[in-house]
Amino acid sequence: MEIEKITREKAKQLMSIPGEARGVTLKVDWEFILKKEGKNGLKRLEDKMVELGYPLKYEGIKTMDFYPIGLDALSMMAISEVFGYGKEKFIEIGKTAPKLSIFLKIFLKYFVSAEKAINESALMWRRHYSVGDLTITEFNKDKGYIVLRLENFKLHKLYCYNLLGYFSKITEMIVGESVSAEERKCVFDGDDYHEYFLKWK
Amino acid sequence: MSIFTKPNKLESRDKKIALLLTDLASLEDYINDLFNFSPLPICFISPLGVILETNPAFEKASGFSKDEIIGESVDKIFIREEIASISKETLKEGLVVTRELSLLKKDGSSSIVQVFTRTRIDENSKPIGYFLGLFDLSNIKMTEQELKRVQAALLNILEDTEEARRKAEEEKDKTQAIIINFADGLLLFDKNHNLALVNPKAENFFGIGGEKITNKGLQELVSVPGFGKLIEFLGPKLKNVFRKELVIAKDLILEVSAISMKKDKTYLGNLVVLHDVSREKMVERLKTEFVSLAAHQLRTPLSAVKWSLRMILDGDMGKINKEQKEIMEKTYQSNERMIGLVNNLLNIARIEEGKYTINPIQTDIIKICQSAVNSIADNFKKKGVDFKFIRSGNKPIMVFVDEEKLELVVQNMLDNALKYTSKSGKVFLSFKETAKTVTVEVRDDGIGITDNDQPRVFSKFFRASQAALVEPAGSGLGLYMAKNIIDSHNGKIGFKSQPGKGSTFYFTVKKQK
Repeated sequence: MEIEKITREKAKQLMSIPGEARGVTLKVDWEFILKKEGKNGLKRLEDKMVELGYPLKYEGIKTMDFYPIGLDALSMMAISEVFGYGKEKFIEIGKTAPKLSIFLKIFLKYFVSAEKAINESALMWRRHYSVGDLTITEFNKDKGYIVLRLENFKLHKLYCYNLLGYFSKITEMIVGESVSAEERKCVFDGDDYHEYFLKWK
Repeated sequence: MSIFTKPNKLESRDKKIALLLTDLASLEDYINDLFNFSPLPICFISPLGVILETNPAFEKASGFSKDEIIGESVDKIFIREEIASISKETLKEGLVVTRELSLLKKDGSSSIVQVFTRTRIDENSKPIGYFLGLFDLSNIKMTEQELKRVQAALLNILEDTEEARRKAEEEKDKTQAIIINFADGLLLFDKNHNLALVNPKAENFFGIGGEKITNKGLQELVSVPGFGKLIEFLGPKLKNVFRKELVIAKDLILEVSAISMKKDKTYLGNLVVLHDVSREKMVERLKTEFVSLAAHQLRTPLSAVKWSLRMILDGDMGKINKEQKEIMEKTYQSNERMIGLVNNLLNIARIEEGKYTINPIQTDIIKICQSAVNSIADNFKKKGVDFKFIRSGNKPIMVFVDEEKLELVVQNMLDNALKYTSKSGKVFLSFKETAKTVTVEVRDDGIGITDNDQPRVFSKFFRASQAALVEPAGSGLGLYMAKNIIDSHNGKIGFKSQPGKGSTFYFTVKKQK
């Protein structure tokens, strides 16, 4: 995958996307960078954000606070450019997110069973994002798969990879088995919505 | 206001939300800090058995990082059957207190941990999972095992010590029994020369109770009546002696042996053994007296026989024929041997009675040897033995000896060489000189002396097995007497011999300047 060069113009464009996301979504991504790239890496990312005109600091990110949703996408593009991260890395970031997220502690009560978690998934989404609608279109416990649909959510392709990792890990945590995940439909591929297929067994 | 916060109008509700968010963030930090601070490894496990949260202590205990363990089945770190039972009990009872489990670590090892659990419930009081805290018992278990090992080792040591003590006690008893019942007197001096032990036999010798002499030094002991004589004999340094006779009283002669005792080069003290030889000495004295008496009594009739035979042989009693003369000659020689034997016996008796006095004068040892050679030279010739008297020049070698007795020694050596060297054999009489001594040496190539016989060559009445076969008439007194004579001159007598190859007998005396 070719690394997309980000410009101030592009940053501005992303920041203008309507909607908000909780700080936790940014925080976990940056925690990943801190772990993988160390403090120097984090500094480089912070410098990049300054360069783009959005001087975000790791220490300043409030997990519970609401941030423009475009900042998430901007942060991912900055990560991609600074560290050369592509699809696989963003899937990995997504998989790591539930482990580091404070929200997991809030959602613990939904992890008592797959059914419960699935029932609460839309609510959990809304707790993170003010935009986008998440629904479970299929859940077959016997055959071991879930089909997720995400509508009205168009940020950046990197975000799709991130969500793919995130959904697969969350599913693993509620079914207790390893999960393979696939984005079958994507708004960046001309589809009307994103569709994720998550399979276990 | 953050640059990321919408620049719209903040209404009262928004202000409250902002405050709540700040409080929430503070609370989050607090929870995180608390969770991270806990030195106790803690994790949260969902009812599905998935690990949903861990703290740094847990990461350290298991070896798995947060990334590696969150979202994983709890079976990854515990044995399935063990944790299943705990999970079931926790979700049913609300908690489990102190249960031992095996923690399966990332490095493949496992350790015994003590776990305790408590459920977390939702607003409907339904369990949504449980916290599991654990306490690593590895060190305790290791310490416990080490303690058990040490305990076992200590018990073993204790048993060994007890066994050693018992054996030492037994040995001590045995040693004491031996010392007490020992037929000889025993004295043990410590390294400071204080008398540490005296056995009943020794007490008996000196007619003195052990308590009066033990723990006393030599200076005190030397003044103890009777006992002092022994201490004087041993000297101020308790010299080593071997079987030396000491006359304590008229009827008590002790054979004294003293040795210094060492263990691994460490001086421990001195042991003195006192062997009562009074009876042997008395028997020996009586025997000597008898031999002396018998020899004296025999000498007179033997002399009468000698002169009677001489007169007959010389024809003073009338002419005798050849056959009669031969018989009379043999009788005369036998009588001569008998006289010689009686003379030897008398000499031995004198030696043993201490009456064998030495009358030394300054004289030439070559002259003494020449005299002995003169008396035997014809006999060598008659037997066909090649005898050589080797002298280096005519310079005399002056010594301070009893001429008569030293000649007896040389005669004896030459006589033995003659007897035990076969026809056409060789015998040499020679001298070896040093600045202070002269050694007279008689070397033959005769029958030699076996290794078995060699240690007893100078013993009284001893005859070597081969010698007795070759010359049945020997008395076994010659070398005994020779040794006594040389000893009384403070000289040294000895020999070297190889069976079948010959012998060399020698004696050494000091030269007179």
